[in-house]
Amino acid sequence: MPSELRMIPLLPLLSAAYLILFGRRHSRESVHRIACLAVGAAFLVSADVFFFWFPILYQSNGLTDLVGTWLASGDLQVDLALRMDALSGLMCLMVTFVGTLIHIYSTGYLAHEQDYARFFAYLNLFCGAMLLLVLGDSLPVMFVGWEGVGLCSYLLIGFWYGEAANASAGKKAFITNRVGDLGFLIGMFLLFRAVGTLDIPVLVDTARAGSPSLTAALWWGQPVAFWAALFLFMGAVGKSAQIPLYVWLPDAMAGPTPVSALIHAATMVTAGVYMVARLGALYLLAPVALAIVAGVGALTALFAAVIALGQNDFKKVLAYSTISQLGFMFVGVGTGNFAGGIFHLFTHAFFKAGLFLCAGSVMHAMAGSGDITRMGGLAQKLPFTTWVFRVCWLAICGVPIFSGFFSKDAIVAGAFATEVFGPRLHWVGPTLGAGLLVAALGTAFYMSRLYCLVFTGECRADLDTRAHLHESPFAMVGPLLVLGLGALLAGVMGLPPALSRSHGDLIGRWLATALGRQPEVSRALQWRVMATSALIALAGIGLAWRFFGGGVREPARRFTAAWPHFTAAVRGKFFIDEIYDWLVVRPLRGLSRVFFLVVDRILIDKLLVGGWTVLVDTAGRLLRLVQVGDVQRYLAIFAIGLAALVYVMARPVAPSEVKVRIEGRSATVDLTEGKAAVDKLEYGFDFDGDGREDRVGAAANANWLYPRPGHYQLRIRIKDPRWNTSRTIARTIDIP
Amino acid sequence: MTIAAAQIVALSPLLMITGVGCLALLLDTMAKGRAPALWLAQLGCVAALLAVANQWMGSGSSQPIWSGMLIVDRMALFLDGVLIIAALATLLVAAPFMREHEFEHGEHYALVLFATAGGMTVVHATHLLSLLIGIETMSLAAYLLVASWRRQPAGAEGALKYLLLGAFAAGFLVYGTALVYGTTGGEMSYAGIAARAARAADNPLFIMGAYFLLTGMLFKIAAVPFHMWAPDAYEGAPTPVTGLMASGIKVAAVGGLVRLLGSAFANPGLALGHAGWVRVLGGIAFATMTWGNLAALRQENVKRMLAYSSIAHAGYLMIGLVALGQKVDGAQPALLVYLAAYAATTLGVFTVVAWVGRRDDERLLIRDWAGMARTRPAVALAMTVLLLSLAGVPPTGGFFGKFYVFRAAMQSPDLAWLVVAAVLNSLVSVYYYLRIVVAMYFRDPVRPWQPFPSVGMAIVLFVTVVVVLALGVVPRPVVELAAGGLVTHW
Repeated sequence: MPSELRMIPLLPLLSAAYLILFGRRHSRESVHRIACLAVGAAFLVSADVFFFWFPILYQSNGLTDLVGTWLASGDLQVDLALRMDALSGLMCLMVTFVGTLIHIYSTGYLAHEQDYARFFAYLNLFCGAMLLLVLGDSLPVMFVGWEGVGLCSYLLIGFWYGEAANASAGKKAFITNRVGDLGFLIGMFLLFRAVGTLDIPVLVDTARAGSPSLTAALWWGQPVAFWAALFLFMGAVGKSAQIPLYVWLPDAMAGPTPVSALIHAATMVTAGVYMVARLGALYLLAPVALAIVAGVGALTALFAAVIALGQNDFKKVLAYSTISQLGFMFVGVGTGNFAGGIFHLFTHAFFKAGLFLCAGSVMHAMAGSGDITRMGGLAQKLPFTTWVFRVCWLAICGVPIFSGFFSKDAIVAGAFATEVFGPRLHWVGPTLGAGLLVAALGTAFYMSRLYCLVFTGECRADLDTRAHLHESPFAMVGPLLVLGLGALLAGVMGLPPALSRSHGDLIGRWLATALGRQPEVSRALQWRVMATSALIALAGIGLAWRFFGGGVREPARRFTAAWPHFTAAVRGKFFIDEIYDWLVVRPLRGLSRVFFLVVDRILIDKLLVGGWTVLVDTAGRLLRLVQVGDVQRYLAIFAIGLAALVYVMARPVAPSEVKVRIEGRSATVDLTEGKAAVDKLEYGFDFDGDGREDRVGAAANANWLYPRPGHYQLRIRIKDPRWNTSRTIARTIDIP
Repeated sequence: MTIAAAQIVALSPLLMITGVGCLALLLDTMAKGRAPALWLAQLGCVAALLAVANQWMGSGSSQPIWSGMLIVDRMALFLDGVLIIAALATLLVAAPFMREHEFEHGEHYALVLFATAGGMTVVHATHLLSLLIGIETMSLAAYLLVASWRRQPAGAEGALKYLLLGAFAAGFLVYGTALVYGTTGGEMSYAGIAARAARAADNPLFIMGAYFLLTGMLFKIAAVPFHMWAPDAYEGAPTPVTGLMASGIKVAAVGGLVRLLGSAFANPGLALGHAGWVRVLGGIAFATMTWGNLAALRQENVKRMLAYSSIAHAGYLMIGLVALGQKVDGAQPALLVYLAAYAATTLGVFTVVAWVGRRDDERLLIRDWAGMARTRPAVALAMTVLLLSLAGVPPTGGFFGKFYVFRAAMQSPDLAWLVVAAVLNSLVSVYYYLRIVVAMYFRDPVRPWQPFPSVGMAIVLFVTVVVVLALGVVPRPVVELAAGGLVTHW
């Protein structure tokens, strides 16, 4: 087995460690050379392994690289193992390829940044963690990557921590993700309890076999698989920014734009989709969980698309667009169409990273401002950026030929055709499909609005900015062109079989072993969906052109005037942040204040700390009496301690329990506490309190028949004959 | 008594350390300067370590030596390794320390080796006489080491107290040996005592003998109420010697106790019951950790605080001994893991304490450490990691050591209270360990820092921090070694 698999995450991780420790000593050139080389090498290694072993990869469970045993505790054994199969291989290639491009782009984008080494160290660390997440062969290893990317996301969102808004955006992302991660952990625990292992291949095989350990009912009549799937999905909801935990992603745009492109569009946020696809067999066991996944996805796709209509910040529009597109992917995996979801993840990585990098390029030209109401007519000034943007824009709108068209169709057609929900929930699939078509209309509209307002018409920027408009340096334009090419062509990986019998659905065939059964889509349905979605894309673009072509036009103004409340709600993002603030943040803050005042100030500071001080002072004073330093006193303590020890040891211990059972006039006393005696003790029982021992011997139990009812004094003497020490216990006995 | 070549080979680490100690003493009188003796001692340690590794690879079974006076088995070899590494670290730190403070003696290096040889004898001992010889060899060397900084009155005072009380404790050891000898019909080997223990346990004199022996050993690990010497001796000793006392000598004494209690006095009639040492040791463990932690809370002198911390750790260690008496599986390997982690941590901590001071300015008060993170960020970071390990915070070796010992103890329902008390105690201990961290990171320096360069100290500090972190992240190799196996992973 190829042990070079471990090199893939290790290269960027090592580079990150080196840059954190010694980055400051190097010049900018060496810093970005090291960083880009590390990721580039990781890409080359992934490509080498992937293509060299390709036949094995897609026909089998893939290649495993066992680094060693990581944890072994009781029944839990976790190996630090990496596995590359068709799915993780594809993800690996995508992450390292896009990662390399964005590293190169960053060298241009952050050319004037002071903290150059820190940025590249974090970016490398991110790539390493993401690759660990993708390649991890067990859930704990995946979780390390999962947390690692979360950490990097936090570090990079708050990269310019000097501004409070950025720092708090980082915190928001981190804390929101923590909520989801709790679900991930619970899901992991449930799986471990049910199956006894956390190795992904074993889990998948167990699930495919329909093992009773997973199908047994757990709570409310739902099987273990349902609850585990649901809790794991909670983690995915956090990481992939779905309702209700999506709120962190728009704020995450506070980070540098390459970070938004890499982490918050192409790679990290798709981790949830990847995880669901990876554990697809588990989800297939629980149709209700699948329906929840798909439902949340569709709802998010629609909701975020609506919010995106009213945003005026370039990156915010793209952020909501990402949330919406992630919703599409979740509908894909949630309808059992795992290959479709992954296909869209793949094409999305190209066109969304491209869009973000265009945004970066535009903002670079606009002196850092992302306000699209102050842009317009940039097509002439930024020719390369505009062309790449056009390709990516058409791709996300779903215009035929462009990659997004095919991947979106794969999801929509899969939703219409799916049978995973069973007869009782058969209506779910078509409903979701229809919802997605509406969301697609919204997508085409808001993306075209963005294009129109930024690139067409007259420039609305002030004179000073207008004078400095310029195309970005080659380090930025180069990666852009590559991504644009990808956005154009990535669709060939998943052409619908209706179009090409021999080369159709390549990606589905590659992933067949890794992901299992996929929904069958009839040729007629494929044609119908293609036609509808092409029409919808064109309709959306046309409508947007009428509203915004060359600037805000009359119909747009009329619309705003006719629907003032709706427009305000959309602009205000439906006030979800404010609602959360009222529902969650403020109560928590209030509670923490109460805790601070009551627990911290009074309980801990006053009572505990104060109490300790008094106690320790007293103890200290007492200790000082003995620890004065003269040897005589030390010796005395020594001797007294030894004497006390002998005294304690030589006296029999009173049994913790004296069992007295009364039956009629007979009383039975038992001191054995159910244990065999170790010490050879002697017991004397005086049942009637007359001073004479009625039973004497080595037995720790005795019984006695009382002549008449009454109130008696029971005395038991326990003697250790070795030391001739004894102890007496007394009880009263009532004989009825 | 026959001395076969195989036995000499089996005992080669101990013989090497002893022999090199003698040679170093000789060399010091003949050679110019102190460096040759130091180099010889260090080389001897390395060679002895190789010999230990050789023995480990060589045979898996235990081997009695000299008619059962000593034994060579996996536990002894494991502890040999720890002791020799502790000696090597002490040598590396002591040389620059003594040069800085201008009291370098060549005998010092030989004495470190003699103390180590005594400690190794203790962990190999399967006979009361060899135990006594080991303990005394170790102690005599330690008394001298404590007193070696002649300009320091505190050193002389600490050494004198240590000597007087140590002599008293040695009396108990000898008297206990006599009582056991008398009541078992002339047995002094552990196996012989164990064979007669069932009958002898009815005899109060035998029990007293056992307890006298126990007392003598508890004195060495500084268990309450036999700990009184420790704060004075620890504070007065030159700091590298304090490190050796807190790591090597404690490791040896605990190793000796594991052998004594685990074989000679393992009989249930002696271990359990109201007169059994399990009950008594449980109480002492509780008293020791609580007393140690409470007393450490208000110390202003770092060395003295660490002395009390070391007393508290003796308490945690005794929980493992109690679990051993309850015949819990895995109590012994757990103790060994704890000892390894604790020794590494302690050596690192005292290296930092030795390193912060300059001539005539030892910087031993916590407030002297204020602002260290600014001038010596790496050292402050290392110290923080080591202190967290002492407090038992993951991912450090200290955490895993505690975890294994407590887990072993939890298998016996009678010990749950002790584990709860120990966890609460660890919680309290965080307070005083963090006081140092707070001083280093959050206080403004009151006096300027003038660090002195030292490669030896840097090496020891780096290695101990790496070991402590490695033990916390991948404890498996050491756990496997402690269980007597060969490392098969990594």
